[in-house]
Amino acid sequence: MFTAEGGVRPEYRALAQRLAEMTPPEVEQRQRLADLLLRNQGVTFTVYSDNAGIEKVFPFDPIPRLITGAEWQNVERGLVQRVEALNLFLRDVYGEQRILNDGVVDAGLVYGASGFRREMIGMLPPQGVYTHIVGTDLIRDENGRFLVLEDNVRSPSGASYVLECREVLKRVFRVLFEQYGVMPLDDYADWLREALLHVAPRAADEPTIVLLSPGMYNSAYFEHSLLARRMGATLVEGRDLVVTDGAVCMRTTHGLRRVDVIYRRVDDDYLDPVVFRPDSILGCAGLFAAYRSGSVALANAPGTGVADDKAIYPFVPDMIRYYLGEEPILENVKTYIASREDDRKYILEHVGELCIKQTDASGGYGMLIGTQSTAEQRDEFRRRIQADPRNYIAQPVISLGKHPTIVDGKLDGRCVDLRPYVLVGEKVRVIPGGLTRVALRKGSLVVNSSQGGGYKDTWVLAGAGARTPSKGADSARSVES
Amino acid sequence: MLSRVADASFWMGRYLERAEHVARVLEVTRAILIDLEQVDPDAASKQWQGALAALGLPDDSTEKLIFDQSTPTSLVCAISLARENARQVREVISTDMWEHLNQAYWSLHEAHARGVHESQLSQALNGIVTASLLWDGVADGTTARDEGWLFLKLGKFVERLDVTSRLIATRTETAVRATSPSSENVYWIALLRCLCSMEAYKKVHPQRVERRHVIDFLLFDAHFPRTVRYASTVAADFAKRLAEIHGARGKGVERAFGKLDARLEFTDVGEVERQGTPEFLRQLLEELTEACGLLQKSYFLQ
Repeated sequence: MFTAEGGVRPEYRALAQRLAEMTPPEVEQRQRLADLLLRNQGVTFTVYSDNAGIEKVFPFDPIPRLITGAEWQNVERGLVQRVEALNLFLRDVYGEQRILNDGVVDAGLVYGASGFRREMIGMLPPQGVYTHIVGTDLIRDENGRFLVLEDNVRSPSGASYVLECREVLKRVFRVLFEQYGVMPLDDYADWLREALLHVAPRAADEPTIVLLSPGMYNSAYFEHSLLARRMGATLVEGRDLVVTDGAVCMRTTHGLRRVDVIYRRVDDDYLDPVVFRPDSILGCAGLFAAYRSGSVALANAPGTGVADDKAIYPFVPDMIRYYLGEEPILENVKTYIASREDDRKYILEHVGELCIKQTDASGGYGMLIGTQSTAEQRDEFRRRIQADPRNYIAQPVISLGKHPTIVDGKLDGRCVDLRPYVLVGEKVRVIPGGLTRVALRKGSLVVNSSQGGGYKDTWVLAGAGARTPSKGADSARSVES
Repeated sequence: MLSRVADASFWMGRYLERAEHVARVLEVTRAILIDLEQVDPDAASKQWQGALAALGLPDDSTEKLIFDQSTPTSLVCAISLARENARQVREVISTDMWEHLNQAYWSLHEAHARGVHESQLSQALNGIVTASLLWDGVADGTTARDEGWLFLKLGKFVERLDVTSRLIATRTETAVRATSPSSENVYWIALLRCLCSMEAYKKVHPQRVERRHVIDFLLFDAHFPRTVRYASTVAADFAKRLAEIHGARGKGVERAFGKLDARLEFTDVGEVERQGTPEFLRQLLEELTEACGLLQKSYFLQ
């Protein structure tokens, strides 16, 4: 919201003015209204350990985050470029492996990645697309530039929260919507559907799309049901599916019905007990064979996890140069790879200044923020890095941009990141905005919801800044307060 | 439609209907006990136990019957199960239906959290009755008349058929053993009120409440939506409409519900009394169980 010099960024002036006008009870009322709307709509996530309340209302902060149109265009171009390169990388790794043979990416890192699936070698998915839905985590550096912190190409969640946040905010801050021209998000479900239809194997008039969910006790079940509903797809669980005559079918009140495209929200390991984990009951036996034979499409493809492995991440800019012959539009955060000797030496000497990440962990687990660590924690990580360098990378601790956030009824600055969603169909498209995650604990840099993180709506502004309130907006004020 | 989804729609309808009955019966019975305890304390405790037995509830405090999550027949369990089933079919039902049911669920939890006081118990019970009635309206107003709607409604009326029959059966058993005519009269009034039928009954039989008329009305009246006959007619109609969609697969279910409805159509109260009302209802419930078994086999187990 603020420039490096401490002034208010121009696009934020109208919001800042509106916030300044609000009294603390008004602020609190906004928060309560938002919470109530979310709870009644069932926008909750599941906490597995806490027996008293298994369902928690999703921690939402009603102060929106603003991004100008010009800035967004750059992000959008950068994401399209990056996702294109990642898909080419996946196709190459499971195909000719040119990038490994040319020594651009170390083969050991690829084969050592926990997301690598040898079962995918030699198989080309429909239309050559591996990752159809991507959620890329971005942060701003000290100069306000967006950098890529992480790629999520397996089955990223959170898009439904973006859609719900927007609906709630439209009711909480009506006037501001009228002042700012905010780019709408309404197309997401249609785009998602188009991306899935793009890989439908049959020439059927209306291919059957299903969303495969682990079921209602999964933490992202709300999202699964929302996306299925908005797309007009059938939400299925593994037990609803059966493979007969090489085709995947679902059990319906009319008998078995053929399925064409599966948007799966079940991890690779659980997809098919015949090929992957034999104890899985979330998938469907024979699914992978049907997929390989081309009778059904899966989005995202199995094995995409090799591309968002934290040890592969440092090579994405090189991939862009290698496959596209272009310079990356969005840069990575500077990363040290512990399996490289020079880097390892640097990491071990600077543990206290770096953010160290375990390459096969996610959700804010397996991470050390050096500047906020104890001497014992640092020793522990030094030992772990030396024992298994492949499993660690390190990045300088970046002070994530801070954004005004309601904390205990008052406004205070909290760290934020941004996860926009990219859909790969016939065209590659980015939804304007995305999920702004906020670290609700003071001073915390971890934004994951499993670690006390919350969410904000993200407004991409169509015009240059805020319009002056129209007459209609004045009369709407009574509705707002 | 997915078999699992059809199954969940059916049970969502059943559990919500059950919740409404539990709430209303508890509320009405509690009110009646206030009067009855003055006149006939023995009859009062029978009245209470009869109501609980018909609903499969243990003899426990009202608070527990409403809020105890470890009693599987408690009100909170019925609402939670309705909501769990709704969550399973979240993408099939309308957002309004979901939000409304979700609100009822949370309001019950809030009432519990606020602390339990007599007046709040009544409020919680009435809240659920109202929520269920409103939900019917929301469902009717926001859903396409497709398979899902038919399974949902079938569940609702199967449950109504079931609970209503059980309530009449236990009441006829207890009433036979009632000691004085005045307390017997209280039983029939209580039964009518538990089934939300007092006013409708009075329109047909304005004279003093009488056993034979009450049984006749609650079993056979074809126009009032809370009677056994009405519920069976609606269930048979929905089973028929499901068969129209599914062809041969649905014929058995259609026949089973049709037979049940025909039996009610062509029986009169005299016959029922000769056979014994509880016995007649026991047979009816057996037929209902069979019809539901067939429903499960034909549609839910694929």
